[in-house]
Amino acid sequence: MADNAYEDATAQLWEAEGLFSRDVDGQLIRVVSATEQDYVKDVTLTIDGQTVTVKKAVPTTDSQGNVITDQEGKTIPRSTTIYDAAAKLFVRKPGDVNPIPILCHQEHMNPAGVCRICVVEVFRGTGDKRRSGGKLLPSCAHRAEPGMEVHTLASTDDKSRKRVQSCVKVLTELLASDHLRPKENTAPARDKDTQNELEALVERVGANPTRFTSGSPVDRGRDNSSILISVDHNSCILCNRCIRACDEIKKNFVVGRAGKGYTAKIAFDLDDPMEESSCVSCGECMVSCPTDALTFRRPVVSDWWTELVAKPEYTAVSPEELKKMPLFAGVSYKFLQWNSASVVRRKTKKGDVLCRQGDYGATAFILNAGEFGVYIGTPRKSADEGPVGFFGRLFGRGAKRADDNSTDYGTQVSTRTPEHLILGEMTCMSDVPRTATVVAMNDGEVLEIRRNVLYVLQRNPAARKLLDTVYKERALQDHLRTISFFQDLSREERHDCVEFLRDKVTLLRVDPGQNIFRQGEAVVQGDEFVGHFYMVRLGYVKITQTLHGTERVLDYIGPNRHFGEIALLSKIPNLIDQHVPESLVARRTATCTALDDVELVRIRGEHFSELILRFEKLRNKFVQICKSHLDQNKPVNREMGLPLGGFLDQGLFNAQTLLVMDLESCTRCDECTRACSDTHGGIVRLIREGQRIDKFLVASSCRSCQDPYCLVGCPVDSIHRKGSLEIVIEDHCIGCGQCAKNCPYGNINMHGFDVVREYPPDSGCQKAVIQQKATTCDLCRQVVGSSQEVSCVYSCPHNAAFRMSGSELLKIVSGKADLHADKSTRQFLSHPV
Amino acid sequence: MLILRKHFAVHRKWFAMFLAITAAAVFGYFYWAHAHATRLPGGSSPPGLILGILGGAIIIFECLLWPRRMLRSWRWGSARLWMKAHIWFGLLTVPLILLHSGFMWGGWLSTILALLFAMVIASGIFGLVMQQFLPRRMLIDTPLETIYSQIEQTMQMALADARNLVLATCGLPKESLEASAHSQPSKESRSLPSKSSDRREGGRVVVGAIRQAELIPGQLLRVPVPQVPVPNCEVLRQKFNATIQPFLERGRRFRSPLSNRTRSAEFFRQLRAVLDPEAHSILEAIEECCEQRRQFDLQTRLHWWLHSWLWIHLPLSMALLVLMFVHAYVALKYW
Repeated sequence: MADNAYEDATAQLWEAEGLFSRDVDGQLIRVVSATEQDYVKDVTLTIDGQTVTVKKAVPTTDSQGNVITDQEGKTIPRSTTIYDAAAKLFVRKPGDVNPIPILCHQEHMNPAGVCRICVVEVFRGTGDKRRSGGKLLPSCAHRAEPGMEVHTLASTDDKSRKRVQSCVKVLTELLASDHLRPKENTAPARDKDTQNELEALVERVGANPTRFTSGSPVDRGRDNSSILISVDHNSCILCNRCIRACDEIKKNFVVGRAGKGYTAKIAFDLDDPMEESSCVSCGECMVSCPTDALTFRRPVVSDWWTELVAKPEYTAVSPEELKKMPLFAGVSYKFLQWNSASVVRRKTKKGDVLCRQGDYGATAFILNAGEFGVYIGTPRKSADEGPVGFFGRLFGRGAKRADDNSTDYGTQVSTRTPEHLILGEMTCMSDVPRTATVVAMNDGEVLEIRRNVLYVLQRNPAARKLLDTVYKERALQDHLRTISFFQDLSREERHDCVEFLRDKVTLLRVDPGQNIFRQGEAVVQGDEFVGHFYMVRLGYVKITQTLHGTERVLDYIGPNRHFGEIALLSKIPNLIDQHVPESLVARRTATCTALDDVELVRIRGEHFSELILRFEKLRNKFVQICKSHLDQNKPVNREMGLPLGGFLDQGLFNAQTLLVMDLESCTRCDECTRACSDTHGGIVRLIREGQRIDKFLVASSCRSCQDPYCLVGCPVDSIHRKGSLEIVIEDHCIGCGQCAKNCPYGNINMHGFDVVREYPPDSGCQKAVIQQKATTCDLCRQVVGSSQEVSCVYSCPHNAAFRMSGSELLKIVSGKADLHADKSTRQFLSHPV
Repeated sequence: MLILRKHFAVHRKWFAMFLAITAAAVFGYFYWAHAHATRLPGGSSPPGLILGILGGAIIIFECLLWPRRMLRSWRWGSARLWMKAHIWFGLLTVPLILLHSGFMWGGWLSTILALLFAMVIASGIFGLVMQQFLPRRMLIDTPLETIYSQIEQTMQMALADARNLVLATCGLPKESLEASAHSQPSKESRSLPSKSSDRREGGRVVVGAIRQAELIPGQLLRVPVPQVPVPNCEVLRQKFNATIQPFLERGRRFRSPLSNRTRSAEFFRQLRAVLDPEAHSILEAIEECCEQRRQFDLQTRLHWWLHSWLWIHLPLSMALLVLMFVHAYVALKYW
């Protein structure tokens, strides 16, 4: 053999071209990545005779539609594909069908382009120059380009349609012949009602699944080792959806590929049996799988569902029923089957209460029939009224809340009908207590869905857009009702202000660490306002000021507070401009940065100025606020030694039930830890170690964050708030560890519990196996009830353990409250909230 | 439980109760003595008997603190309430029992009982006094404090870090190099810090990730690790093997200059003088480990003083309870 590794010149040329490819004219081309400039460039193309204009690139988003940023905080541009353009053109609302079929692609994933089912024929040029590219192109991966003429399965051009149809049909037949086995030969979990996307595609394109079937198909085997998921390699079409689900969505990096040719298959770790691999059994691969290759063994059944369906007004809802509803059209059928116990149907009668203002909740209501009144009143007292001692119980304190059956809901502000689609979504989407009471006005029907279903609904762009619109509209309406600086105004003035602002406010979402504005930025350019006024709806914002090169944290502000007014007011002559240094007139005096996921209500600068000039009382109030802030922020007046920096760095602002140890009183006897262990059957939910602030130790125990990160993404919604503040992990936890991964404070731990299961699966033998489950501090509510003190505090003999919110801790540390000063202080500190 | 200074506010009512009952008991006792023209009524007198029964009941109640603490998940009143009651009722028994005794020792049984009582009270007060000062001292003097039961494990981790730093700085010992030339890698060479180790961050090793709570970083000490051994560092290995490693392993149980902060500073100053400046950051990290060991030793001592008195207080209390019942039986039998 010659020394030269290349056998011929073509191969050498091929190698030399490397990453390059040739276009239809044989010219060497290469794919250039999308840039930020492409966000504003329009691309107009024709799909099946209809013209659509899309942006050349869009920011890359995660599976939930949140924009991803790189390490520098910049968005990552992604080219708009032909499939995206077709979706924009044909899928206007949930349930609309895209004429381009997909199999290896899902809208919430990055395209892999491995199945070629989404092929389209593309023509370029017009008139005499119009010609096809020759090859059919995968629309999921191919970028949309100006002047493209795209023909899909539904094209009006017979020749193109037949060409695409023929190609898709053959591809489908090839896949079906190898991987679409008769149902009796597939995985045991596959029932007659399972939906196989390949099977559906065969029906859609009229393919013959046995056309290429060989007499002796290769048996690639099954993996039945897992007690949750069954793997049938024979049904796997190697579409990579499970791999992308594991790697890109859940970031677990367990599923990959092994083997070559006919023996190629998906593999867990280094082709280990699933049970022995590092797979956490989150089920994401299974719900992403378009065939029967990955199936669940048994659906998840929660206590919530079991309790509800036992009541006469509730009934179970089958996945088929859900799938027929347009809203659920984009949701994986396997997900609906697996989590069928996350949805119940409720028949309502006149006067039935769906939810009450002030309660925490983990469900939303899809309105099927009837009318529902939305009432705003005084939120009823929380269940967290603090501990009730022996005498409290004797005299009836802590018994059922008096207003549980109250019919005084406040003022009716609106009526909702099935046209409005959904109610109660705000609590699920932003973890805030219910903002209104909803009462049935006549007989009706709702579907009560849990957070995990809502979460998966948001993966579908059409459903997400719909939910987002509803959410933003209601969030703004709700915020306008509760604006703090309107409190001093008369009823008429407040009404006028709200009406003035009604169409002038915008809801913004800001990521943690993102700057809202920086110190020194101008709020006007020429005569145009470029700076705005902000009100915090959710989350916290840090205000910092740099003086002589040193950054100081001035304050942090949370919900219902506002910022950005100083620069705007200083532009208006004779208000506060004489109190602001000349160099800072109409400029930001501080930097505002989001501390967590923040929702802001923005009033544009010009509208804010108009509001201020129009309403004198408001103007005077803001002038007073600004003067007070400016005075406070003068270096000579600022309190020194306030540990705000450390407080914010440790995320304490978000905490509502910190377990705080006074280290001057604590004898390190560990009674708190032992009591926690004794109360929870030997599984401790606190570690007496953690961050320190002043003389206090913030122990590692659930903080009941205002915006709990742990609740995001639980595939079976086993972790949530149950009416009150505490985070509860229910028994149907599948042990995937998502919540533990999400908690930035390490306060959720995974423990192995013995459960009796059929093991090995399908053997008929019952055996105790260890199943991982997440545990966290539930403030002992599930063990001792809501009227009792938390065990760790209750069992501390030295009066050294307290439960308090982050702001209360800050008050104590900064000397504004005394831990042992008076009984009232002690009482609120000792109470769970 | 803290009762001094600003914490006294929590105890004000209990102190008032203590004073009121003591005053009532003293007044009743001497009033009865005056009314019956008796000098000092004994335990068999009506006021003595009443005070004895009261004192005995309180002692029984005091002993109930033990089962209360064992049955932590039971809701019998908060532990701090029990502790406050334990302290103030315990102190209340002193005047009550003193009055009950009529200020006399009595027979051998009552003398032993009185001595036991005095020892129980003294040990309890000793414990209370310790609790007033030692937690604060621990807070100030042992900022690196960890959970008591985890001290040895934490120290083992620090020792492993220090050992890896020395190996990275000094390279393999000569005998290991010679042995590795002829045979399989030695155990020591296998323990060289791996490049893939997750504790390494871009040529730096994290030593003593103090109070790191998951993603929220605590005080971290990142030490640059030499990529190749630093020349003339054999003295560091020798000192490490002879002095530093035994101290990190055994702490003050090993007589070492490192157990004293001043002498330790001098030890490291001398070592720094003979070492290449490139190794100085490593030396600082090892010095930090020694400081951690010293603080853990101090924490151990303070922990002992905070809790060891219970080993006297508890058995004596049980003995007191048993003898108290014997005393009651004997007193009633021979009354």
